[in-house]
Amino acid sequence: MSSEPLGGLGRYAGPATLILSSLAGGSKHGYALTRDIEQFAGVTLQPGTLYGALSRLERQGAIEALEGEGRRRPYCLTPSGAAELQEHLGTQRRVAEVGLKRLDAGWSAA
Amino acid sequence: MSDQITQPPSARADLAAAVHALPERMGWWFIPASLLFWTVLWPVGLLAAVVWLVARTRRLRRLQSPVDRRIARLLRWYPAGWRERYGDEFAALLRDTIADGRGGLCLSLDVASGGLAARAEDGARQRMLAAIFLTVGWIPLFPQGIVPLVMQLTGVPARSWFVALYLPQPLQWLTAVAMVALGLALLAAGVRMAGGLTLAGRRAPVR
Repeated sequence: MSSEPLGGLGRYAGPATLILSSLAGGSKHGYALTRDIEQFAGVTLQPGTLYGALSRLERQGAIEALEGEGRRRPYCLTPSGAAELQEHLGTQRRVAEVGLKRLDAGWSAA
Repeated sequence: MSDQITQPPSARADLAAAVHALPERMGWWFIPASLLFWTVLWPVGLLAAVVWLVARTRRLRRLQSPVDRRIARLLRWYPAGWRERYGDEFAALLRDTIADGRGGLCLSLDVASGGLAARAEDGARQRMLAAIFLTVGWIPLFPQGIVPLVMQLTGVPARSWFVALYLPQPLQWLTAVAMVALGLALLAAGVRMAGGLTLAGRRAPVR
C-alpha cells in the first residue's frame, strides 16, 4: 500500500474518495453506490469511472467484495481502507480550513 | 519536318520499362513478394475480416434485446481478465443505468475510456507488448540502422534488403539514423515494460 493516502490512484483519486466515503456508511453494490454518492455529493459517477476506481481500490486492499446478490456484488470497506480514508479526509479538512480562513481574512470585504 | 519531331514515349512503353527495371531497382524478391501479397495475402486477409465480422454480428444478434447487444458491445472495451472478474456485475450496473434513462453518448464514452485504461494496465497485454518490442526492436536498430550506417561509412556498394540504401542519397543517412532511434525506442519501451512487470510482481502481496 502506498504511504500517501489514496496514492497511486491517479485520476481515480476523486472517485475513490467518494466511494470510500459511501462505503463508510455500509456495504453497497455498484448501483447503490452511484445513487448514494449522488445524494451526499451531488456527483454522478458513470459506470466506467466507478468500476475503474472500484477495481483499483480492491487491488490496493482498501475495499473487498462480498457474496453477490444475484448479478450484483456488494463491496465493503476494509480496516486499511478506513485508515486511508481517515488520513485523506484529515488532510482535506486541514486544506479546507486553511483555504476558508484565508478567504475570510482577505476576501470578506470584497 | 515531321521526321525531325521525336515522338514522346507512350505510357505503355513507360510502364513496361518501369516493370522491367523493378528487379534491378528494388531487388529480385520484389516481384514474387508483390504477386504473393496481391494474389494471396490481401484477398485472404479481406476474406478473413469479412468472415469474422459476419460471425460476430450473428453472435450479437442471437442475444435477445438491443440493450443486451449494446451491453455486450460496451463490455468488449475491457480486457478478458477484467470481464471475467467484473463482467457480470458491471453488466448489471450498465443495465440499471440504461433503464434510468442515462444511457446516452456520455455512458459509451465513459465506458470506452475506462476499458482502454483497463487494457493499458492489463498485465498479460503488457507482457505481450514487452515481448514484441524486445523482439522487433533489434530489426530497425541493427540490420536497418547500424549496418547501413557502417556500409555508408565504408562505401560498400551492396544494397541488399537495407531500406535506407534504396532511397536518394540525402535521405539514406537520415533514414538509417531514424531506424537506429526507432530501434532504441522500441527496446527501451520493452525493457521498461518488462522491468515494471517484474517490480509489480515483486511488490504484489502473497495471498
